[in-house]
Amino acid sequence: MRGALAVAAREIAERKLVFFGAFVAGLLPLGLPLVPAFRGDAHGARPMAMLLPAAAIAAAFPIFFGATILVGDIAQKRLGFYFSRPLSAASIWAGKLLGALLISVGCVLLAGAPVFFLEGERALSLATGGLDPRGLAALTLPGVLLLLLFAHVVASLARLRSAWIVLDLLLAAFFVPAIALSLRSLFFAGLRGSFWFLPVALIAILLAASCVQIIDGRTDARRSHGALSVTLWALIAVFTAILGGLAWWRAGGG
Amino acid sequence: MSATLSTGSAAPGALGSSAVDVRRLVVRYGENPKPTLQEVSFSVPRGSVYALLGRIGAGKSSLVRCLLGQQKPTAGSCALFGEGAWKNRARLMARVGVVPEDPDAPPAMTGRQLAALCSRLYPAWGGGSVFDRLRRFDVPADIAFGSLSKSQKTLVSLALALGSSPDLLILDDPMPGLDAVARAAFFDELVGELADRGTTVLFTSHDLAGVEKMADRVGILKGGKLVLDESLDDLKGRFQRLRYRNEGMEDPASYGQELSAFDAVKVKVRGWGIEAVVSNYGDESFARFRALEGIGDAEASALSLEEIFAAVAGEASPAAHGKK
Repeated sequence: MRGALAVAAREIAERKLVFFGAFVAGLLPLGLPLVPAFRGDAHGARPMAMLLPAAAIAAAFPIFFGATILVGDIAQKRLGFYFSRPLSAASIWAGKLLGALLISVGCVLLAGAPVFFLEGERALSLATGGLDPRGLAALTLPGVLLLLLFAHVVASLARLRSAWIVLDLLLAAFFVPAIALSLRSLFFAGLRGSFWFLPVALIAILLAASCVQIIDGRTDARRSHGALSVTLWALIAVFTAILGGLAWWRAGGG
Repeated sequence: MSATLSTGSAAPGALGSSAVDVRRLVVRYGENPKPTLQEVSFSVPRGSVYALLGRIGAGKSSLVRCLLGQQKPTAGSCALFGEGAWKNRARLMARVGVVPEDPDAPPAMTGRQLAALCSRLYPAWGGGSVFDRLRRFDVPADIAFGSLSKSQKTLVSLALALGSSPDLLILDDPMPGLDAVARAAFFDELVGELADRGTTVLFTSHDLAGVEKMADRVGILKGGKLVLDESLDDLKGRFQRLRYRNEGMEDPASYGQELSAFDAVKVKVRGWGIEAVVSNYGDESFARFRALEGIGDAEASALSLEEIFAAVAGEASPAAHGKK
């Protein structure tokens, strides 16, 4: 835990200027009332426009940091520095991802803070279709984590450049439609209110796959890609089977 | 050690008493039919300085990665202080200092920040000694690692590697990035560390003059096999250059036959006579050789490690095939 926090703190310190950039981006919408089109529009487009930087950061930063922080080190053979220290592989993985997550979430908060403090909770509610700060946080945190992990996995498959990519593409071509069909069946079977399990399951799968990738692959890019692919597709196969079984059962097959 | 030449003197310690134990190590990449490392076995006794030599692509870096627990061997085992390197890597690294071939610290971090990070990771960390070394190396502690020259990066890596007062120092060919001044500083620091603490050192290098000054044991990898593993003194004792005139043979094509008592690694006919490199020199056998009919002006001289390395790791030779 101590090692993971040290690694995370290092990642954050290395990118401290990003926080400043996010805060400055959050200040920009404060000039919107000066734009004639937004003047006096407190109930419509203005709150949404004011939260635009935070929303953009919430989407872009997890993708960027997810695709670079850990994968970049493996691809550029820089992970050896951490693996030459008394740090467990799990600490390196957790520290890097925690760092990326805290940077992304911290920047979203900084970008949204000026508007939130000046316009108040009402503006936030208007911009997000009725969400209060707690609801928004409950949505943002897993959303950012999911984007981060998804970007990490996709970047790993693309950047580690091993022959596993062929298997990845074949299995993706099989499992993605299979999952989509199962979800469609569940949707029409009236289970649409229970779809919260989908991001939770995806986050769990991506966390497990990326963790095994670092624990088993270490600094070896090819082995790292193999560990990621095997874990990812094995878990997705289990998930697809459960989803398919559920859809079959709900459709009256059982 | 089926394909290894060893005199048997300065024998490696038993499992557990050595700092490094490599047993029948095999490393294979992908479906490549020829393994990068083939059944490599050797030990590094505690307190010794072991130089692992080999041409580019001989498998040195793969072996170092296995020793550091960063790469899983295809077969065989690597142990540090009696513990498996792959399974116990994190714990073992508290006792190991590493200077990699390509210094790989985060480029945005300064030497000071790197030392601060390491102080949070190691159970015992001598922060002051790191800055003392950086001062001695004349490397600025407040410039980003990525902005330093290759020499300075290597020296920062050495300062960090020694910061935890390691029991074992692993140096993966750090010399190519060092200029003459940095190289001298690097060796001075190592010699000082060895004298002060008796740290075990395993290093790979192409700087054979530097190796010769420091190593007490040498291993040579060739084509993924450890073809030689013995003390430097024994190695220099048995590899000798013989120069003589052969007045007993008319046909130059027959030259070299008179060396039947030796394992001749290389034989060259020169204008003045014959020059040969033998890998099993002995005073008695040389005395008998001198007494042979037709042999004149015979003299034996020591070889540098570089010459021995060229003879062993160069083209196929008797030494590379385990002949004694």
